[in-house]
Amino acid sequence: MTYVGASIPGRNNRRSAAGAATYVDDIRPDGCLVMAVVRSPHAHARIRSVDTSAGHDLDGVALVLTGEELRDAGIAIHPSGTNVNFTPRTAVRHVLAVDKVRYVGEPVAAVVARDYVTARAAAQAVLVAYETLPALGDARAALKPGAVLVEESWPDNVMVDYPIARGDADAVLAATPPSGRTSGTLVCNRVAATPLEGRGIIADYNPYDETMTCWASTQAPHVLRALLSAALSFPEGNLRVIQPQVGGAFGGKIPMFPEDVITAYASRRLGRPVKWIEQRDEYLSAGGHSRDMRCDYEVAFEPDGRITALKAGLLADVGAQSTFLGWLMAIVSAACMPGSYVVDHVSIRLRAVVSNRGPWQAYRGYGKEVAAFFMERILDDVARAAGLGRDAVRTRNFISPSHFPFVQPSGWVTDSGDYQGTLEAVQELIGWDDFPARQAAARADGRYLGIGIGHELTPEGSSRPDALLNGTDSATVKMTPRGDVTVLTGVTSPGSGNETGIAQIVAECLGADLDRVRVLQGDTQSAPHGNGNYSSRSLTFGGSSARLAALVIREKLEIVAGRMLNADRADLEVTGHRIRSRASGQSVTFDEVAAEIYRKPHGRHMAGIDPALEATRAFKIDNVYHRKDEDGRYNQYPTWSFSTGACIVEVTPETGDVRIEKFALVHDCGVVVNPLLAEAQLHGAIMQGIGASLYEEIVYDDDAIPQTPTLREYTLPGIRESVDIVLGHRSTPSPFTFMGMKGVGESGISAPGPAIASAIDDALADFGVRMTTMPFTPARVWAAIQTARSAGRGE
Amino acid sequence: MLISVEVNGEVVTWDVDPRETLIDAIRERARLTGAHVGCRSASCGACTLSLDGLTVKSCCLLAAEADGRTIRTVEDGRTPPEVDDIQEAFIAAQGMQCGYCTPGMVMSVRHLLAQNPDPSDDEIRRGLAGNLCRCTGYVNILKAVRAVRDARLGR
Amino acid sequence: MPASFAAPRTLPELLTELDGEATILAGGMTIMPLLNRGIGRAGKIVSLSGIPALRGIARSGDSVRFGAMATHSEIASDPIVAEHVPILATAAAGIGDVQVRNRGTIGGVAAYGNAGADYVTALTALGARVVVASRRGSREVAFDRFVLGLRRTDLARDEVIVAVEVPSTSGGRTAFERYFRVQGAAPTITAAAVLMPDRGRLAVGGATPTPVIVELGREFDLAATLDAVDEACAGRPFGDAHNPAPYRRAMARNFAARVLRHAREEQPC
Ligand SMILES: Cc1cc2nc3c(=O)[nH]c(=O)nc-3n(C[C@H](O)[C@H](O)[C@H](O)COP(=O)(O)OP(=O)(O)OC[C@H]3O[C@@H](n4cnc5c(N)ncnc54)[C@H](O)[C@@H]3O)c2cc1C
Ligand code: FES
Ligand code: FES
Repeated sequence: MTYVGASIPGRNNRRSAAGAATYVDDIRPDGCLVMAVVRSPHAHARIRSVDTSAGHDLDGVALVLTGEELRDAGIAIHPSGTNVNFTPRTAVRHVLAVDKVRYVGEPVAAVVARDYVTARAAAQAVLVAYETLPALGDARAALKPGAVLVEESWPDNVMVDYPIARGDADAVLAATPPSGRTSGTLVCNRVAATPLEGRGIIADYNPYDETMTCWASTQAPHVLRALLSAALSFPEGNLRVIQPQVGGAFGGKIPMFPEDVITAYASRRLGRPVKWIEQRDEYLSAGGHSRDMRCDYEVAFEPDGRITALKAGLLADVGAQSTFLGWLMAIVSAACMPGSYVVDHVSIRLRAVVSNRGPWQAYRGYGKEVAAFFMERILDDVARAAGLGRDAVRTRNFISPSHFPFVQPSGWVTDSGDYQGTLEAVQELIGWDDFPARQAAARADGRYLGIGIGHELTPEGSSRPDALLNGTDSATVKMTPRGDVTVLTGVTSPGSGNETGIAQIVAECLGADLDRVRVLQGDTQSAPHGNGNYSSRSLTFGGSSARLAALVIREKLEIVAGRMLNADRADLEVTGHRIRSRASGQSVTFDEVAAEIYRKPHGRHMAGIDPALEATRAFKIDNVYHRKDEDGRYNQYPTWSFSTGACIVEVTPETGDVRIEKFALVHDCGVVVNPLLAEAQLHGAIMQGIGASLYEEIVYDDDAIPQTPTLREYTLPGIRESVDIVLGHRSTPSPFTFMGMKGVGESGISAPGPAIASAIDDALADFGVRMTTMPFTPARVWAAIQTARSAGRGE
Repeated sequence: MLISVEVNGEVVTWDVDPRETLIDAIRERARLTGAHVGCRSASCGACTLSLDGLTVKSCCLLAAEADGRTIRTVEDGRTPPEVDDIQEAFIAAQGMQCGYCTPGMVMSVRHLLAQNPDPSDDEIRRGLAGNLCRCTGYVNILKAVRAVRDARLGR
Repeated sequence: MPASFAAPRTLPELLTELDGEATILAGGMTIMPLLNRGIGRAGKIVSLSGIPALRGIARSGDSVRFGAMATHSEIASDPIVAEHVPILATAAAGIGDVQVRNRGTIGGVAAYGNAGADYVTALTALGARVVVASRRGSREVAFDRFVLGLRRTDLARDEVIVAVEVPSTSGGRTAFERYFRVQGAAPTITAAAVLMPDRGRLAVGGATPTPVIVELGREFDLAATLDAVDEACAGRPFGDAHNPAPYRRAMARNFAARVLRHAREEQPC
């Protein structure tokens, strides 16, 4: 039976469809109280006083917490961890603001009450006196000399200044004639991952045995346990974190949040379970954003389209600081340029600045989508300036398959790839060659169709030095006396379906019946230590470690079965929960072998054999270097998936409306364990990519007040915006993982931005329009057309 | 205040807070947790229930308003692990990932197909416009709905 | 003030409840999201759901009378509406989504007076009248004088909209257009044209705090009409994060042109 490669529906589907899945808010320990958070309505203000009395006085209120109480209890987050190429400025973080607030939505106080209605009412009754301060609305203002300081202990607002250089880009640019240069500014919008289920946690402190159990909508229970333990000075061994079913995460639930700490603290103080469930308006202001970056670039190129030099100034507005680690995405954006392309002379300078916008939190793409948007737009610009095809310019500059492993100017090592392969395949899928005729015919009819491409590189399996999110994971495989298989993994599934994929891998490696393999995840008490789910790592790491453990069990089963069947191990065939001797044709079932091992440990087939039918193994991936070598190489991404996307759009010039007719993506993620689930991931990632390209933007005004407080303003694409998605697969197996698996969870999120921009430009070629700012809302497209018209272009 | 509602065929009496929303009453009092909260702003549809035969976003109804009315939820009196053909189609087509939106989607599909047994793609899109899904890109959801439609029509 | 909820069964009962402190709850599709976020007065809620007198859609002379609690779904599928004010059915069918239409009411839209709201524009073009009642008595107001500004209407805190009366457009030509950025967002622009044998009116919503109105004679000059729309938008700009004022202004002109074109092409009904 081959399970790997089979399309099997997700194992949690039935309970989910029935409405019987248990999410964190569905759990109600006896006596559970509900917490609500009082949040700052100001972007920047000094806290003069917090008057909790009106909140306290309400019937049903158990506790009101303030920043001062938590600070006095010694609760503060001290950022730690070393970084290889840069040193960020840091500051101690308070989970409830002390002295001042730095963004709208920052937690200021918390109320614990008997139910949701009472807690919300009490939170409204807490009176906070603020003295407002001038606020920094965006990164450019934050860089100005004399700007307001968000962190008053810093000399300026720059958190990280990270230069990357190879060759001498300035000299090459200076020596290139104007006809061989182009430049521009690109802006990537601030977005929010927005899983449909918000964040949430229940903490249940047991004062008798001094243990605490937390149920959290988190991506990484073990990591949350470690961080919570440190924040609360609570023994890690007494803390248990359970991940129930998670209603989507996409990076947005990588720990740790201030509210996790506050909830756990409250439970410990009260000796009762306390639940905090995030509301959508809290999420949109304080749940973490990403991508807010601009790029000022200059490139030099040869007449044949070869890029000779790239100079880019990147400015990231990472917002105010919190306990989130999202700001690291800015580093990834910079380190992934030029990405898929060989450029000999590169000069990149990233400045990540703090402001009074909300903090960054991880989101699918993790900075790679920003790098892809910038690079692909630059490639299109070069194609335009050189008068060449957009595909030809990519072909000219791609790293060729013979050049891997390829060292990026950042020092990161790109493992493998065949970029031309996905480009050609997607051109075929979308009908690239036939399109110009269709386009011309439509144009004659007064319709504006355009085609575009966008290539993406999705390095995956992030393995940061000195961090709990790292390049290893572990799994336990065990067999019961009656022959059932249980897999416990340190990776988790927030809906990505890896429990199903891991079961397939274990069944296959063990020769087991898939129906008899259960996968358990997400409980620090039972699962071996693991990093959880992020960076598309769950199948590569979780699957690979489970395979290693399964092989240990298989070896023991084979030895005992061989003795039972009087056969050599080499003669055995293991499949369908049964071990057969090819020579004699006789066989024993796993059940029989398990019974032999458990029931007759002193029997004749068990001499010299340790009867444990349980193994824990960790998989540590190669191709990660955490110390720079003499060539400046270091690497935190072991596998580099890639895809090329292409789309056809129709633009209505009168309104600026963009409709995607078809989106094609050819993806290379090595060997695919479950095509049904892998494709489902790609559909979701592509749609999120489209959402951020056309509909989604977290908007702040100049005073850093959010303008998109609900889903009526932060508009996610609905089914009416869904598009015809066509997928193609290629496989360049990773040399570093089991069967060459690579991650799939993030792939597809980066290509839509540049592909759609490219297609809009193409549709509006008469106007010479260039889309440089995401999202490409009707208003922006329309404005670009008006600018072109007033310059005398078009029609 | 005391209200009396019929939930999935059973009449119950609850003492609700005047500020309590229907979704909270259904989840906390009836302990029917299939419907979820995704926004409390009538945007996402995760809380979709049927009230007197019409789908509603129960986060934006007060429990008190349901007094004397009939409510159906995704569970709708089925004995676990029984599901209907719509849910089976979602399971087979992988019309879900995290599953958070699924019960609300299922409610909307039940009503859509009851009103229009042979909806076109465009009609499916209109019928499900009030239910957001962040995971699937809607591709497999559309597949699932087309599959039930066709199966019911014997196609 | 302690929280309370009242669901009167009759109009007189309702009017006694409306003491100036109460917050009226109709379909809840606007007010509930706000109350859920802690915005607005949640103390005393008075629901209109239990009052049969506020329901229903019926002919009344040359008009159609919509009870304030007529829902978008009801309006979209009502045969009287289809026959006598078809553009209101079109407008209703385009609002939000199924669940929103099942709850949202014409009275709620009228009372809230949001810029660009489908009915606000349609009712303006149709020359509708609003019937308002309170303990102090009742009055009728022309809809175009009822909407005073952005989300500001001529409604005292103790008043309730009882009904909306819309003159039948039988024998005239009418059209309605809406343009939206993405499902779930408020429409960017709505436009309605009503061309009757003896009068005509164009209303465009979404580019200004309250709809732009252009009165049209039997014959009208398209270009001049569009210029009038444009000028009105320039004088009272309205915009937001995703649709800034200059864009809305241009779209107002676009959709005014479209809706007039469509209305002219209509067969009189
Ligand atoms: C997801 C979503 C999408 C939407 N899309 C659209 C759209 O495309 N187009 C559009 O036009 N609208 C849209 N809306 C708004 C929708 O039409 C609402 O139904 C409407 O704005 C308010 O009607 P309601 O009956 O729900 O009023 P409620 O929310 O109950 O009340 C609104 C306000 O009016 C007051 N009020 C209500 N009824 C009366 C009355 N009879 N007398 C006096 N005061 C009263 C209330 O006190 C409150 O202040 C959308 C809403 C949502 C949630
Ligand atoms: S929770 Fe009710 S619509 Fe989102
Ligand atoms: S499956 Fe996750 S939101 Fe739809």
